[in-house]
Amino acid sequence: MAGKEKDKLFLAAMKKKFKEAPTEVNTNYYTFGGWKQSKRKREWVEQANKIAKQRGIPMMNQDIGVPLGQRVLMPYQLSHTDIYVEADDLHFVNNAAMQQAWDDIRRTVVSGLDTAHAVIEKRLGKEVTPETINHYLETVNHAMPGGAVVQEHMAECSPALTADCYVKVFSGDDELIDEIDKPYVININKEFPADQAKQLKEAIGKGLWQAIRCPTIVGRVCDGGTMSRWSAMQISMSFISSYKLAAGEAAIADFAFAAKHASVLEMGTMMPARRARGPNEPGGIPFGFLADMVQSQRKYPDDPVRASLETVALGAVIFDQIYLGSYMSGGVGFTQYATAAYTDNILEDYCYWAADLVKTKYGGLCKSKPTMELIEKLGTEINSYALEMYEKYPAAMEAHFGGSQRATVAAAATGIGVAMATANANAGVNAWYLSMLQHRERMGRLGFYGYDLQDMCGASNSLSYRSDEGLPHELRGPNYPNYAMNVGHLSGYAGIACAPHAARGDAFACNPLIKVAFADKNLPFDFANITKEFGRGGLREFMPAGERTVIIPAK
Amino acid sequence: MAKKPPQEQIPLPEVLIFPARLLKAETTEKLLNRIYDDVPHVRHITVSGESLPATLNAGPGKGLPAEHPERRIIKVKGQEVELRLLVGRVFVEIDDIDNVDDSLARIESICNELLPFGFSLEVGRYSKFKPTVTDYKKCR
Amino acid sequence: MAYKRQFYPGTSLPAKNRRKFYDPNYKLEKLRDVAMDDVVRILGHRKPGEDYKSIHPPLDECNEPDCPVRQMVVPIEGAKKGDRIRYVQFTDSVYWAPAIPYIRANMYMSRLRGIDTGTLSGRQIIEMRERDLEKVSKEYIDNETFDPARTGIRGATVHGHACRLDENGLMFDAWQRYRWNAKKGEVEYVKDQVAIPLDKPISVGKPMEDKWLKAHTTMFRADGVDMRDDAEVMAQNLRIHRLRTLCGYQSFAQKE
Repeated sequence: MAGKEKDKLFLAAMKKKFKEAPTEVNTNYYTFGGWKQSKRKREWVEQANKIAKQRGIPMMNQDIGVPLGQRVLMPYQLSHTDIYVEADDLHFVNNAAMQQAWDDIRRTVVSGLDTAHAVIEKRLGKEVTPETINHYLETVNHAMPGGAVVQEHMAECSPALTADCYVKVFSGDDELIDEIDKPYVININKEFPADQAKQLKEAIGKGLWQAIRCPTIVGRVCDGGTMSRWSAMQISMSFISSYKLAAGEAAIADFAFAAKHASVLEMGTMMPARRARGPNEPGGIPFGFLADMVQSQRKYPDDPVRASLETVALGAVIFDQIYLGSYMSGGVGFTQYATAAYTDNILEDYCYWAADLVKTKYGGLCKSKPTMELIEKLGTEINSYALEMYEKYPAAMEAHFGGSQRATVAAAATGIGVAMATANANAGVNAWYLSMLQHRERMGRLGFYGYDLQDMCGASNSLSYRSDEGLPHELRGPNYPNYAMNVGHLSGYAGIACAPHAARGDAFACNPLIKVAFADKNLPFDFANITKEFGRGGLREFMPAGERTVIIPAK
Repeated sequence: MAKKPPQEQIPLPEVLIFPARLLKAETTEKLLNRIYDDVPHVRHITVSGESLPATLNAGPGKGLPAEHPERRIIKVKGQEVELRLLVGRVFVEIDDIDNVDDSLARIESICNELLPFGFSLEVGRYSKFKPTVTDYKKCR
Repeated sequence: MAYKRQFYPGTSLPAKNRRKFYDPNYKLEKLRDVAMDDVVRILGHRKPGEDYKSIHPPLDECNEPDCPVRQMVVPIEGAKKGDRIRYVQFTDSVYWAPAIPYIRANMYMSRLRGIDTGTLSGRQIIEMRERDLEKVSKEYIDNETFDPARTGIRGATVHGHACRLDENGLMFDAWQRYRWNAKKGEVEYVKDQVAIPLDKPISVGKPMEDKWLKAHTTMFRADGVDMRDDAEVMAQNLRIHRLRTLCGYQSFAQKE
């Protein structure tokens, strides 16, 4: 039997896993008892029956015992985890972790304090000290979740609804940060490995920045465009209160202008009217920003492939499943389509193989110049490996439901591999298109009609930086003209934006402020373990924010 | 099925049989019964494969019976089961990691006999071992 | 002009087979003869003998404007008669079906007039005026681009191209439009291309043997001829990528 040795090793690993680290779950559950064994499930069944009665239509079918388990689709394993879930569990409507990942991005605003401080000192002649900053932070952390600070009779939000809302600060100035009260600080020195902290502090400089988390519930009721307005309003009010200013004076306009425009960083850029979205919506997030939201490189600095794959996973959910799958198409989400990029360790296998190849045959990561010759040679090797896997192993061929998934997975591996070899994301995305052309020629098949268009012409703009024709890949995003309708592609593109920087050991791919803003342990979603969080969402273990229990009738 | 399961709270190993062809109902029936009869430590078997819908679910003939000859009732361990798949993978759950080597050898011998077109075997865990949102949704 | 059309680069077996498919001067080998009425039945658009439905009057009754393009382009028969546009769709297994989707597209473009064709990973559709479509369908069921076991005629629910074959060697079809007749050793269609049952089975002949399929393949595969083993095919493909990369949409301007 082929691979017997490997199986033996695997057996040993299994044995260790099962005997020494038993999990809490009861496997009997699956094989023998059905829903009757579980109190919680019985409750669900009762609820479902009740709802069905009220609606007049049946809602669920109860499990009927069969002596043989039959499944069209086997569970999906979240890549680089031990978590198995079903396709439905990975639909963003069913998955609280996916919802929170998007909530945490949308409700984040980064806003500088230096402009406001300059106004206070130079225009109003008041002193700004660590003590006044601490006082301001105390005030803004009261105002941001909906507490009144200036007007006496202002209606306030229930704190239980906005408990996830807060403001923290960070800076490259260690002395200043030492003076700020710890709960209000994202400490770069503590959160990042020393070399990454050094890079980030140099890039950020002495400026003081706020990471503002607006309430999840506000993002849901309003939209991403609301976020910088919500934060700017509360920031302005907090300045008025904490520096004892007169609410009508002209300096207030400067605070508002700084917080809304001059010193603000939105997570997503504004989109054109035809796409009808404000800032801080998923279509406006550049790939480099998304790569910086991912925190794998901070927690696992020696594994650049993991960082790229985690970015792919986040891109698949934010860009493919939520943005293109629902925002733009109006559909119920491209769940099964997008999951190929972050389940069952297929892209994992190709990317780690590519990294090993680069290390053994191309002098190591980031050692190659991004020449046409290099892209052709290395790109061909990685792409051929990926396609061979489908040709040699029917299991791999059947793991995807169609050619589009094969095309995306092979191209993502090729792009990530070349980006890591060359430390150049545009070379990586060029290799993506090399993969597409070769795939089409070799197999005589590719994906759906979109692959006939975008992927056949994509090489033509892959290295262009002129504003009407191209951009550095890190600054491209779902809104980039050639990518605006690239279903199934955006996850891979995001991974390619991350790959060269992770391979170089860069602390960030595109924007150091975003990297630091998401190095925040108070976020409900853990951006260092993306696939694991999605898995926890599927297992019903993830606790999101945005709770409404306190204002609705008790059950 | 009738066997009392061991009480350890752990995900158990599965032997995956991956035939080189999609199996006819007749072959599936033989294979399952031979495994249940000849491999002592099997707790449960799950199969997956290509769906054989009872009726056409799209197109101008929507609603007509599909009448795929391989969608039919088979007998597994004496119980009748309607097979709804053309089976491509068989997952045999073994009751203890220590019994995997022996089970694997027995399964290989059965497969050599019943799957002349080829197969591969793997050991791992391929099925869920924790309930997910879908289980609650479907009241499993 | 001195330029002689070359159709496809390469010296490998798949390259040669692709060249044959694309070259309209090469006569594709006829391997079977499925009766025209049976082809019409499998297509399922009309009953044999039934009149063609039309979507406009015959062109010669249409008082066509005096247009040089209309004069240059000779309409195909169905267009002349005003036939509606109908389709045939072939599904090709990854396991050594003789034709594959993009090869079909290029082949049709090279050999046929009056078609609209669309290509996906597993299937390939031809849309055409009905009476012309029937002729083309028969031709491509009868000839060497078709294998009864590994090529499917499927108008809807085409899933199966990437699946392992059934035990009897047929490409998977959840709707079982065709079945294996073990006595005759032939594949029979029992349903039309959208799975409406036929009155009687229609044989499309014996599956080709593995040896024949491998000799007639148009696929580059790891377990057959790898594309990297055909230097000219690789060079041509890389050239396309290089020209698109370096020249944007003006590859003609590149001095090589």
